Amino acid sequence: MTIEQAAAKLRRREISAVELAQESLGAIRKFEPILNAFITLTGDLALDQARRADEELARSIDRGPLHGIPYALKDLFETRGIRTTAGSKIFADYVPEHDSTVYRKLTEAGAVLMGKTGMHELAYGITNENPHYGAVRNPRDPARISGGSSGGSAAAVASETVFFAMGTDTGGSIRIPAAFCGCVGFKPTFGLVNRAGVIPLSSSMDHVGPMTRTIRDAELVMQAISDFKPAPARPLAGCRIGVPTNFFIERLSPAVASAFEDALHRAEKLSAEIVPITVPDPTEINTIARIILLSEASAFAEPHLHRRADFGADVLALLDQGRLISATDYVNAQRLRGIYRTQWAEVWKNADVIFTPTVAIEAPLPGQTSVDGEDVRLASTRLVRPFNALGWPAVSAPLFSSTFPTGLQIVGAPSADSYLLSIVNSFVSRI
Amino acid sequence: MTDRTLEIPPDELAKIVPILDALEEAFRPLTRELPLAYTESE
Repeated sequence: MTIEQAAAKLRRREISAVELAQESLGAIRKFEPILNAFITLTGDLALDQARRADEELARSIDRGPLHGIPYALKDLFETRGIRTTAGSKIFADYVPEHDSTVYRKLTEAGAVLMGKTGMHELAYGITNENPHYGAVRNPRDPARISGGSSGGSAAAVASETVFFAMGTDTGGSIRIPAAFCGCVGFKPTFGLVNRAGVIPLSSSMDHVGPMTRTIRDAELVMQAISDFKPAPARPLAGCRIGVPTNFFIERLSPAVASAFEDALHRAEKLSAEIVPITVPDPTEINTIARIILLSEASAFAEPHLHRRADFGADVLALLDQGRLISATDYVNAQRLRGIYRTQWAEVWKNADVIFTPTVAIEAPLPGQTSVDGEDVRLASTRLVRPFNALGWPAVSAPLFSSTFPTGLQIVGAPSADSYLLSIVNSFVSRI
Repeated sequence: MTDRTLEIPPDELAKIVPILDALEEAFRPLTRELPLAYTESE
């Protein structure tokens, strides 16, 4: 069931918001021992919010499509009176005094918060193997990892325990787990969604976005939390799909390569124009992005770094690396980023959107550190990270044509979020 | 002035130095592309 379908049922009185919340809580409790998708459940709050939603609908007060819809927040969105851990031992007992803007807007839209989801510690990693709160498992195959850092949100959406969940994406943290778990993950244009009350990782690359069952659901959530205005679904016919001939199709697992080829064939059958493009060397912008990420993350964590024993080993190693990068390198990385952004923008002369695989590999196993000799973290992030540095909108839509779900990454021009989702909406409904 | 390498245990420092060396090796040539004056993007 999609958000629109649930919303229609609520308005026809075929189901109540309390019943939806109870169903969601029941499903979460059933799957939690397997998935560990949540750090904190907010069952009492959810039932209170659901009761209010029902009372309002009975009085013809309608807050829109999210009214009475169960959802989850990654545990780095501040929620007044509810602990917000950022997946960290450092913030294990942190109870904010204020709500994040996203939570406030979702509450105003009548959505029902079921809980705060598990994540990679401080959002600083892509495995979601968290030493403090446990690993989040993949609902398509619990023997595999969910991916991260918004892994709990992806697992909750893909297991259909909630209708949508919020995530953050600094180097792929929405799109990677969306691809591994088989759901939609949307990273909007940088700055489109307000970040007030979100615990930062990398201040100039953190993006906030929704994880959903469908593209249409992502549009509805975006509408509630930002100035996003959905456009009608557009046919693919005539759309110029840029497909990079360099970097993005290299070192793909056979299953990912096959699923991606299949998606391109389907787009061609819908009369899209496949345009081979060459992008500036992404290894260079990925290097620049790593300098920026390491520096900004360590700047945020600096006041807590005397508590070395309270960090996981992988995150501590990254925070140590960031402290050793010079300020001059950071400044030069930011200058280079602007220059590269101008160079990359040339691609929009020949393409309306860009198609790439989201990740080069399928979801790895817990503890797996390499795939075909490549570090799992690099194999998972190399196709997504450039678009954090560029700030362009990018969505991962699930592809199920291989043995295990993977993702199709569709990238739009800056601020073309509505156009991007309208194109994808018409396409993925046919996948 | 604080030498931050002293705040990292030697065995942990030894693990990250090669990573930072590789990153620097990739990054340093890029800085040579920086123009003398501001560009339009700045």
